[in-house]
Amino acid sequence: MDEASDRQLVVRTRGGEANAFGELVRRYQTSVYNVCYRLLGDPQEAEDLAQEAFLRAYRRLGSYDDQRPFGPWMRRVAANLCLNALQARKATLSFHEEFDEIPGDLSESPEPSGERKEEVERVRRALLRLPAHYRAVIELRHYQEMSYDEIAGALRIGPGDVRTRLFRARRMMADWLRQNG
Amino acid sequence: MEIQALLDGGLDGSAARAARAHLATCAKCARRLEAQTRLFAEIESWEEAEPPHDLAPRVLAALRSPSTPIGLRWAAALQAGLVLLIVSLAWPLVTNLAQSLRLPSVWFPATSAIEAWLAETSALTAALEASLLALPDSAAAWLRLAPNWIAIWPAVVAGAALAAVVGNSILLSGNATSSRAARARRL
Repeated sequence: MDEASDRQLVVRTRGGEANAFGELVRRYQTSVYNVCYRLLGDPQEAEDLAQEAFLRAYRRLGSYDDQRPFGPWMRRVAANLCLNALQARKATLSFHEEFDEIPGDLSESPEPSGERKEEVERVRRALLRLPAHYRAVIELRHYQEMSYDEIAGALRIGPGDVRTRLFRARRMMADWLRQNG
Repeated sequence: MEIQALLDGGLDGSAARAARAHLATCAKCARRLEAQTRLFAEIESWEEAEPPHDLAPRVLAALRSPSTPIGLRWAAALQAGLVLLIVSLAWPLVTNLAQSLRLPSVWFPATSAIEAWLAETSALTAALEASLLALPDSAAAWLRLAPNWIAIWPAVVAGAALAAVVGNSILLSGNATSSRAARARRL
């Protein structure tokens, strides 16, 4: 028997079949969790926000246009949730605290072992040192592979701002990676 | 910035062609392109972390747990406001009654307040009966009633608000029950 499409699962969820939404969660939990993990940097916090993102998506399923792919919409919900969390966190921390803080410990993170571990850690640290609005564009462009227009729509900024933020974010990352290579 | 836009696929056809033509002839920009390509690869080298195994069951469990719909929360807030209205409206009446009974303070026993309330209501009823009996002289009767109406208006409004609170409570209770039942049916 063929697997149900995302659209079919959405329709069944809207019809009151919560297990259909469970299947959607299973399909997108990795990408959603990773959006949260990369944006927040803390596995536990990412777990909580990923769960909250799915709950929010479930509640907002009525506003989802099922002619469009579910995955990007779901990841956008997660990204927005994490950006709000980062904004709230920023409000309680000074600039230096936010900038210097690396949430979580690599040993807690479910990351690969061996040679790649060092590279993964460097990239992670470089990414987490970026201000939240730069981190967001890197996340959406490099990991969600969104276009400038899609990122602009997701973050409600202009495409020109997307380009500028990406440029500055990459420059900051490149500088840090070069200094810590 | 143009090199990054080229790598991002953010340049339109003619701009992309122009950028590639320039890169073919400019060694400095070609080196920049190479550096940016390496950076992009580095950024994307982070392998996806595995989510916790119980994420999906946790989401479903959270969906099954009852939560208060936002409509009910607003209704509860409205109800709380009505209770405050009742208290504030009834307070002058209570203090007036206490003064009319020449009690030492407003903190008198509740039974005294109820007795005073009943006495006041009886007086009003009698006045109403009198006014009905004297319908031909209704204008004069209503004029005589006026002071009584003025005295008890807070009680009338408080009573109406109390009725609204009771009715609202019944509706809220019914809604909460049916909401839980609907959710249970759905899941």
